[in-house]
Amino acid sequence: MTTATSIQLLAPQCVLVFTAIVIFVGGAFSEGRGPWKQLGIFGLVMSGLILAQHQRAFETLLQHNEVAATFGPVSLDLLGYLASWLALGVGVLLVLQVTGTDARGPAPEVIGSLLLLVAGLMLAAQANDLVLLFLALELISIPTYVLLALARPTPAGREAALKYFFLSILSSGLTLYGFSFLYGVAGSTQLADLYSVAAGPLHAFTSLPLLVRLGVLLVVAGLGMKIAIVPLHFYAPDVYQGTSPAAAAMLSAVPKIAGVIVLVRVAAAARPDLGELGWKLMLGLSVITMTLGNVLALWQRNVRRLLAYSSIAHAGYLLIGLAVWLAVPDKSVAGSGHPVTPGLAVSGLSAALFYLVVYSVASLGTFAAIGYLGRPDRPLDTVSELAGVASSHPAIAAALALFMFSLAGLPPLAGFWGKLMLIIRALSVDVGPSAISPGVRHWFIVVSVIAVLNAAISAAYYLRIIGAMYFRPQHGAPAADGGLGTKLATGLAAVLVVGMSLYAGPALHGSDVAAESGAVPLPAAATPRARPAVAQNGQPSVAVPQLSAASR
Amino acid sequence: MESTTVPILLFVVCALCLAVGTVMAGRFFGPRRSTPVKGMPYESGMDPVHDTRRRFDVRFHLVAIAFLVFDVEVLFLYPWAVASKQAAQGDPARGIDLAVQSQLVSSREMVFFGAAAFFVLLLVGYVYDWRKGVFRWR
Amino acid sequence: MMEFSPQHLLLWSLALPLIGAGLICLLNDGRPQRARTIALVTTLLTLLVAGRVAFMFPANGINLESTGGAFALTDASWLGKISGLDVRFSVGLDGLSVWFYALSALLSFCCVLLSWESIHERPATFYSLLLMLLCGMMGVFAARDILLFYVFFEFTLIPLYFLIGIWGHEDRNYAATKFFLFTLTGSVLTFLGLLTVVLVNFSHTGDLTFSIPKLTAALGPVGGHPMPLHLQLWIFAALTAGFAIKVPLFPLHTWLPLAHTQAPAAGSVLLAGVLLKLGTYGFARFNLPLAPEATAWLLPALLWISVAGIIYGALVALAQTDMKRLIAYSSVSHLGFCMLGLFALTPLAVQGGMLQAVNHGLSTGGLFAIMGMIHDRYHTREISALGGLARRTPWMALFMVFFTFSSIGLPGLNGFAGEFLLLAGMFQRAWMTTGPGGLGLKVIAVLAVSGVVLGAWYMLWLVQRVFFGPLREPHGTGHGHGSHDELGHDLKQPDRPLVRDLSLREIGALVPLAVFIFWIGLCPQFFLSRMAPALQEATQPAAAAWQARQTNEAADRQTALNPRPSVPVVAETSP
Repeated sequence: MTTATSIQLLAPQCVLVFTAIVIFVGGAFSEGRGPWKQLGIFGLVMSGLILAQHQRAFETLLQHNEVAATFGPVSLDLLGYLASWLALGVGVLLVLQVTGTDARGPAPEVIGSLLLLVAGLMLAAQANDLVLLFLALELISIPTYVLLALARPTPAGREAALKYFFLSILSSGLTLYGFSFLYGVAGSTQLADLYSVAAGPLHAFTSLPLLVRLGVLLVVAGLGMKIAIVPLHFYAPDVYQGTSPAAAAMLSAVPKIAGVIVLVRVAAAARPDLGELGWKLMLGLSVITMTLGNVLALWQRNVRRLLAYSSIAHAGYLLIGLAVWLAVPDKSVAGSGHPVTPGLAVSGLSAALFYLVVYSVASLGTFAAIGYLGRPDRPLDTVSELAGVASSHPAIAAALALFMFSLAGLPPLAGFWGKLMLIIRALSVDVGPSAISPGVRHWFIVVSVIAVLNAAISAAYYLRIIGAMYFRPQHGAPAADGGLGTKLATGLAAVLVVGMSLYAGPALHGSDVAAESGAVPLPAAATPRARPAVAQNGQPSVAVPQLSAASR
Repeated sequence: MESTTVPILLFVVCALCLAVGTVMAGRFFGPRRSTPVKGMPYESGMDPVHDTRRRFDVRFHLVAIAFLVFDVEVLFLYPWAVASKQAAQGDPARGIDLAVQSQLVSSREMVFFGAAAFFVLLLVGYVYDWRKGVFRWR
Repeated sequence: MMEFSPQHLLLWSLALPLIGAGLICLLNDGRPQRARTIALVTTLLTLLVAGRVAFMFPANGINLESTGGAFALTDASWLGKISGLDVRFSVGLDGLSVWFYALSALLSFCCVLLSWESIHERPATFYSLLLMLLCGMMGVFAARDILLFYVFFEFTLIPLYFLIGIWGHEDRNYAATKFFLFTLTGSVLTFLGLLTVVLVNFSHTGDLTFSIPKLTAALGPVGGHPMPLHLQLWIFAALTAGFAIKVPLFPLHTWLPLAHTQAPAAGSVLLAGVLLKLGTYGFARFNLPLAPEATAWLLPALLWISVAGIIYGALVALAQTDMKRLIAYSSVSHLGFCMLGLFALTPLAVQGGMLQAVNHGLSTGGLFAIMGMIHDRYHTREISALGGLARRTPWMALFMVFFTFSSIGLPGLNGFAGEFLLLAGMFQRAWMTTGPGGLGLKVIAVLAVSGVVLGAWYMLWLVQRVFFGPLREPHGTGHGHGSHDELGHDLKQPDRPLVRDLSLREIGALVPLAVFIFWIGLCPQFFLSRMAPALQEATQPAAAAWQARQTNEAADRQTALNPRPSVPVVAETSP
């Protein structure tokens, strides 16, 4: 049952990989540029249709009141399911907006790599096993190298690709090293086993928690590079600037989503061992990341470089949510003795996930608009090149302004709801009834103040882009030669942002149930495998409420 | 405990003896006529001391990578062989045999199609390399 | 508009501007005529609907208990109950908001008339932004949910940012950005304060509500969960960060003259007329009821800041050479009066302060409108470049003098009613306070009166220099402003009068303001009676807290010989 079900669960990814193979081989056989974009979209749509079948699997599980939703290395939970939808959406936006280095359109390898990336992202979302998680991360990284290498045939473009390549390898190495510690403690690559070991009763009296923390620290370091958290952010500005807008869009969304989801999976499994390290680490990184990102963005002239710093800053906001999640005792962590706020318990994670979605869409839209305004062989570079776009391309300018305001977090746009959720959860750690240990008090208030002030700082550079478009007279109109795809992607992203602004309910609800299912790893119920001795003593008394969340 | 560690220890001891022994044997019995060329460290027949920046034909890299890819991928056949052997022996508690046990799929089909899919993927890579002219020395 | 219940009318008044903005964008043909006609019709309809709602408001402001404390209340779930957060679309009016709500509609109507011929560039965008701003302004006053309030509060920034940045004067980019960043920085802190209030209430009652009346009721002194003083102080500080910048209170006013000077006439009118009132409104709506003890604790300091704004604004206004800048500084001074009235916390003063906020919207709105008309004709804001305009444009001079009188508080006009009430209230407060604090308050009261004198001085001096004396006009305007008309039809009439007096359209923009100036001046009771109960409810806790402090301090003084630790006396009372 295991293998067959795993393959069923992986069918959407298989479709994507198959389409990618067809595109790769087809591209090798045809001289000119074929309908690769259309084929890529077709593959994504087919994958989505198959993914939609999983909905029924969820319903079946719910009807039988079963919780055994893990099948070997692949899990069937709402976090994975919803993140897969996000991955497909990101894929559509990326395939639409990608351009070639000349008027002939993108090379087949570019589209194929994008599909592989999306497959990797979906795999990362559903993986429940350290090996598969690493495999998924590599399935994202390796096509990224190809994509960056093909993005711009200039020295700067090559430098960007090489820089990303080396640093990404370093980050993979760190992640893998961290995974190896976790494996050493758990005696198994399954995350659920790690959790049951960590939650075991005698575990805390050994030195193993220290190893788990070391492992998580290394994983955070490795993933931090993909998420662009500050000490490991430094590649981002150079790479974004050197590469094409579409590739920068990919970098701003896909590795970030993957990094956050893998981090959540690992942290959820290692959580009983993290203690205060978890939220303190996240909170500290968050403060440095958002402040540095925003302040450095103020001085940038290059649009992509500016957006790179902006994406760093947004990673910082996002970490607040993770910190809240790790600081507030989860309701399924039994015996913690703390009062649990109904609805606010796991919602730090929910806020982070919602913010991730909102940020990704706005960021992809921004890069699509920038891509549209440039030329395939020479993308738009400086902010001042945007002068007067409002009169020459009013629709694109309006969409770009919408994305900027959303990223800045102005109400009633989606970015505001994202920041609201983050801030209210951060404040609720200190102010609300869930106020936890005295050591925590006031840290989250301080971070909230820093976060909102950062939002105000960020408005300064977002306004510079808007100001250039609307307030400066036009001189030398931008080429606006990005083609129909970039225009479609901009429009689609704008529609999504407006939708999530005016009717944020479904997206918020989705992130809520995803957070609830992702907060604790599923027990590996379907596999009767031998567990390590500690785990057998300490079977967690977790009632795994994940799937019941879907019935709400 | 002992049954597993003793062979390993024996193996290590043998390996050490053999390594040290051969070196010692050469040192004691071998003739030594030293020349400057012989004194150089061996590095695939190249001059070991030179400028770090050197032009190197990219075609070599292509061949090296193609070799590496196919060579490493063949490595995956070993776990496949082990797993298929276990499947044939009918050990029910491991790996892909759960599929067999629950009678979703017969063991031979499972093993066969798994390997077949793997080979198809290799073949696709091969075809791609071929069409891209990786094997053409130009 | 099938039904004429106030609920529906209120919703329509919020929806109409958005519909109008959408229509303008859809039917855009690049020329002003269509856009401005739609905008005029929309604002007129909105004004009628909003006016109808305002005048349906119950005369003495009571009888609202049955409808949840608000008039024309609509309450619907917005996002659904997401992770326990119940964000609601809840709009309704009460005594605090009803006149500001109506004022927004009135001034927007005037603004469309005012911009009729001065906007040539991208007219469709201009008018749709104006309508969106109108929606935001009415929404912020009507909101009964904290998040909805904040959404509208911030949303007003976006249209005004574009209005200043695209259609402003020479330094518009800088002005728009400074305006935006200043207000945003303050308001994000306000946002934190509001969320803290929500969470404190949540921790007491277990109800994660954003409803303003529920929060005020639960956290007020009668609700059973008043916050401790230190928490109140933090919350007061956070809320003040945003509202004080909006008002603007004295040290935080630097964005205002710049934004006013650079904004187009319509932008200045709305900025001065409505958007500054958001600060006053925020103080009355949130600071005073939610943090009454903090208000009492800070009261002397707040009064000093207000009076500093009055004097400083007036003195700086005296030194200005730019008309719009002068009026901008006069706004700083006038808003100081409003805040003084609000913080004096006697019923008279509070009513006077809030009435003065409405008055300032009318009179300064009118003044900025006239500045816009002068700018349309002469393309200058320099006082020294102009003189004796009364000969050339007698109607404009008439209105200018009228609005000036309103602004300096001539009896019979609205300014008098407001200023008299608030100063009388302030004197009451000062002479009711005994002990060392009383002296400071008396000084404040006297200084505030001197602000009135200064106000008369700079305003009348402005009128005298610009409208009377020998005729002086900038060079190059001899052939009238028509030569600058891009449409070209004015160029064909070289022998037309040099500079036109007010057209019917312009008079139409000013007359509604004048009507209300008279009305408030002659019959303030009509307006006050509707505000009074809500104001009383909002400020009573703070007044009681101040009274309690006074009593405590008096008791401490009496037992001064007894060496027991006493509450530290506020240092600010002794300058």
